[in-house]
Amino acid sequence: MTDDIGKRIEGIVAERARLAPLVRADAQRWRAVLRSLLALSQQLEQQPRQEEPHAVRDELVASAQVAAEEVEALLESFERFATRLLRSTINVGVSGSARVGKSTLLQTISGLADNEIPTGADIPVTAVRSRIFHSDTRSRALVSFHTYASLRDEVLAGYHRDLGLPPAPATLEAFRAFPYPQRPEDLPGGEPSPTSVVLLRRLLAMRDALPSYEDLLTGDEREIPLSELRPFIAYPTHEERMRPGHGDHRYLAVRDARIECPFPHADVRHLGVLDLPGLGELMVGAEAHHVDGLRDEVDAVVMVVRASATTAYLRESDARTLTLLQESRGGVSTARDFVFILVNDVAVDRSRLAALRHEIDLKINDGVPDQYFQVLQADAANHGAVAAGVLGPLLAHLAERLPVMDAQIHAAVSDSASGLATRIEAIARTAMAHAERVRRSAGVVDEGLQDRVNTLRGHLARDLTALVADISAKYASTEDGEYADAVEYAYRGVLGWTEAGFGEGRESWQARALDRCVEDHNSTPFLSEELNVLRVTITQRFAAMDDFLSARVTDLYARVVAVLSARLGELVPADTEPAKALRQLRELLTDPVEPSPSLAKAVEDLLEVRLDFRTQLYPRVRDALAECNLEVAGPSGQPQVQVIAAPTEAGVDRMYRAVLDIAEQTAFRTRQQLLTLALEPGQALRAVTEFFADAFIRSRDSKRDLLRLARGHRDRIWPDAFREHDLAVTTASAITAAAESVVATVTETRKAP
Amino acid sequence: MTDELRYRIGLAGPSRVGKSSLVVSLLRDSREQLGGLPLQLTAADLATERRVAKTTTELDNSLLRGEFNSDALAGNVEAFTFQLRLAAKRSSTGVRIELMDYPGKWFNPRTRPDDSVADWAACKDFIADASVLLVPVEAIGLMENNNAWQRAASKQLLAIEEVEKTAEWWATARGSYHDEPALLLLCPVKCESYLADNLNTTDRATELHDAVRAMYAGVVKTVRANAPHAEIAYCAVDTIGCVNLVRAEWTEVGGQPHISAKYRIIGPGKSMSYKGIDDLLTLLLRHLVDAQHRALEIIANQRERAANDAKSLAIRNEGLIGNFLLSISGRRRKRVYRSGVQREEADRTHQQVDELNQVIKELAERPLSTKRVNTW
Ligand SMILES: Nc1nc2c(ncn2[C@@H]2O[C@H](COP(=O)(O)OP(=O)(O)OP(=O)(O)O)[C@@H](O)[C@H]2O)c(=O)[nH]1
Ligand SMILES: [Mg+2]
Repeated sequence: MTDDIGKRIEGIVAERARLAPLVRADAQRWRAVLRSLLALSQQLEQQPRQEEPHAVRDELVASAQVAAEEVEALLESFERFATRLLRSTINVGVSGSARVGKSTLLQTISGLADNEIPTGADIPVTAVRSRIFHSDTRSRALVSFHTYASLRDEVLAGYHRDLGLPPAPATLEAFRAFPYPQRPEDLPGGEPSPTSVVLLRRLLAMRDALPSYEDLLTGDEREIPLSELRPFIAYPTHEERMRPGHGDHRYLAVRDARIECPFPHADVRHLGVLDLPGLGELMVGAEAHHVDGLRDEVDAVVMVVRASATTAYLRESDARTLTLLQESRGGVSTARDFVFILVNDVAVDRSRLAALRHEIDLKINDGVPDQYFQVLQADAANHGAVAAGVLGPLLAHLAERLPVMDAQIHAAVSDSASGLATRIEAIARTAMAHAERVRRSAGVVDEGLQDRVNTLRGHLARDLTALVADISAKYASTEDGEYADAVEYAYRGVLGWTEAGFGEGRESWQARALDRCVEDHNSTPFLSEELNVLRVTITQRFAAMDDFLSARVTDLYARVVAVLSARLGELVPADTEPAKALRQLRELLTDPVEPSPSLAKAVEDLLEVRLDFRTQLYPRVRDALAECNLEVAGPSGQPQVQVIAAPTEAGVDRMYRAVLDIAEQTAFRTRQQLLTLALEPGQALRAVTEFFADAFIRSRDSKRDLLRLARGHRDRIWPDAFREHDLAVTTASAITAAAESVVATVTETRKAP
Repeated sequence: MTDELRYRIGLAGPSRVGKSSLVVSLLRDSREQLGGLPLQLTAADLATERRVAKTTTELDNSLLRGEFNSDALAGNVEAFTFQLRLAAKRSSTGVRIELMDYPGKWFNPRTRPDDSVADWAACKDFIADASVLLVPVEAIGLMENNNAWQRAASKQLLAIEEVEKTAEWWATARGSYHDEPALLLLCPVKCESYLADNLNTTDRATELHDAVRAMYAGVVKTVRANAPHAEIAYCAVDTIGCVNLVRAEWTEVGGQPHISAKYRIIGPGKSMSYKGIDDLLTLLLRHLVDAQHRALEIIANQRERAANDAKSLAIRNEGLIGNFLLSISGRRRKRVYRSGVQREEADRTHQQVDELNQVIKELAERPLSTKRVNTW
């Protein structure tokens, strides 16, 4: 072995380390593709059920899901490749049937002793697949243990599956108590195969040995001195097995063992050897998976063969192992680069050695030596022979071929990636077309809205016309009992108050009058003031009709709101105070984005209705109220003092009665005048209602504005009505977006690193 | 043979409408009322004189102590026929006017007592014979109604249905005397608060007039239909004048609608301030004088003819024997005398007609209030 090879290997490791992040970055891009693809498939699945596009959708979903699975597989390839690139060692797997000298070869390469890596004469010894790496400084084993769950998933599940048993027990306790059939005949599926006989035995043994290893099912990793390693990686020896309790089965809890020690051939620093146990013998599902992983963990496999004591022929299991290895070579184009056959040159069977080699040349390499597999030959126990006959050619080959293999793997992954990218892009384009179809078929909804608005207008027109008629009927009748009652109430209030001596009592009033008139030597100032006060008070009392009038307005608002809310839904909430509901509507109508000015104006005008005593009625009763003045216009227009009385007891008595009469007369006339106006507030409301109805449904722009309102608040006016359509459109947009993002992510993967 | 013609004025109105007040206002201080005219309206008998005096006092009493008391004038309990004489001043002859006032409750079948049926029949006869039908109209109820109930109530208060019926048979009776004048007078009373020409300032004259026209449309119609020659006039009268309506209240008394009104006194408040009485009198006099004038003209013509006949008889040449016999028996002297008397009568009647012509001219020139008076 030359330094040159060591250097080249070192160079290979360095080059791999450089490549790894790039592969990782590719994987990262593909992970984005996967995410976008899953999102697309999810969007497609969410599309509301519709008849025609349904089948298309289902097909798309299916192909998207298949593609997603392929991307997952691709990602795994990337991962494996990256893992391969990230390894700091060149790993050589050692395979072979039992008893061919596999462990011996490992011992020879690693320099470990028999108590560290056991070899045995008759029975299989290696129970755990161990990986041994060169270390200049350390000698140790890192053992990672199963948890019950990983044991179950990685080991027991395979047994259960292969034996046709129900899924492996979920918990340790369940496993302990699981009613395994005790005899192979009891297995489901009738006549047991020989394999299942062995598998059942092993499974039962694993269960029976549980007490010896269950404590170790921690999932921990432990450093174990090499001297104590054996029970963790090897089957019990025959003697041990004979002991009660079937001996030590701690190896069952071991998931993985990594051994580090200084190799005797220290010039190849970056070397690791992997023990591949039982390959080709009994393959339980879980083990098959491990084989699958081989191609990333090892750069080459050395299959050890040996002429047996009785025959020089290749064993059945060797052929199977070769087939498996062949298949597991992954992206490496030729098995020749990956699998080496080592004929163990053991002295005892040297006589049959030639026959074996011949057999290999003939059967495996089809008569051309080294055609498909390179055949090496060395005594596995001999250090020098192994170095020269195994490691030397092997490493030389790898130094030359590894970059090629890596490139092949890379090319294979990239090829499948670009093929997949094209397929995924096609799916995305199909999805976009599908979304476009969905969107087009949903496009008719705007017509639907127009229809609805027309119907809405019709309903509003009918309802508002009915409302106008209703209001007219209510207020156009010759009698307005409620109004008259309100007037009467105010009038009675005044009379009650005057009768009670203007609220202060006759005596008090007269006493006050007398004092003032005596003081003034004149009744005029007092009476003048007093009548002014009375007039103001009477006016105020009649102004109490405002309550009634505003109730009228509120009533009108409530009716309008009732009509609008029946047709416009929650835009005009029926359970809110009517004026507030109208104000809210006005806000909506003045929405700067889609204003409905004509409707807004209509509502605004309605809200601005003023119906109160002061503005509506007072001007009409001013003359009546003016009677309550000391000076009134006489018959010929000249001012005339209504009351003059002497500042005496009798005078103020007369004054009181006169003032009372004037007050009552004022109240009466006001009342009579108000009663003649009975129809006016009603007429005003009627006019307002008509005006509103006209503006809201008949004005020039009302049609356009109603459509705008409906467009802006469609779903509040007709909750549910457009949901399906919207969903369709939304989904269509979402599908398009998702598909676009798929295309974008796929395009990303095409960019050179 | 007396020259005195008799005219009757019939009243149509339910209780408390203001009949008696209106009649008394017409009759009291009659000289004053006829102011300036060469006519005299006087009580023709003592009973009438007493009655007018008594009712005048009662009416004046309603204005005591600065308050208007509408109970001061009691409702009539029996019928009373005022006997009046209207005569030209210098003439001993004139017209006799009879005016029958009766308890208003007889008028309305709803309020008419069972034992008054015969009395009411006499009243009806009187009215049927009257050339003037005077209908006092209670203005408050007419003006102060604000709703359907009150409008119906005011109709009932004025006993419109009954007034219409009365007008119908009155007009029917009038219809058969085409050459006798007939007059229907619609007289709003208690209307001082709606007219601005007296002491009050609120002018609702047009409104009042329209309301009366509307309310009595049926009455006018039936008169028109049955007595096309009848004159119809409207004349608002203040019999008290110095009051002003403070407030009015519709109520029901014994199933009958009732409006109770509160008034306050305005102006000096010492005495009545009539208004419209002159107009009413003028309207009445025009009618009566016209009637009298027409009657007298007929009489004058008859008398002229009789006087001429007598004269020709007195001077008739009956031949020698005839003339002798006439002279011997004194018959010619008698004939001459008779002829002279008849001539005198005829001349006197002519003179009366001339006098009435003058009065008619004066009456026609007398101005009538435009606010209070209207003719159809
Ligand atoms: N304010 C006012 N009151 C009046 C007027 N005329 C009559 N009255 C009042 O009306 C009431 C009834 O008047 P009367 O003249 O008695 O009525 P009537 O129609 O004769 O009633 P009976 O005798 O019951 O049929 C009296 O209290 C009068 O004071 C008027 O012009 N103005
Ligand atoms: Mg009377």
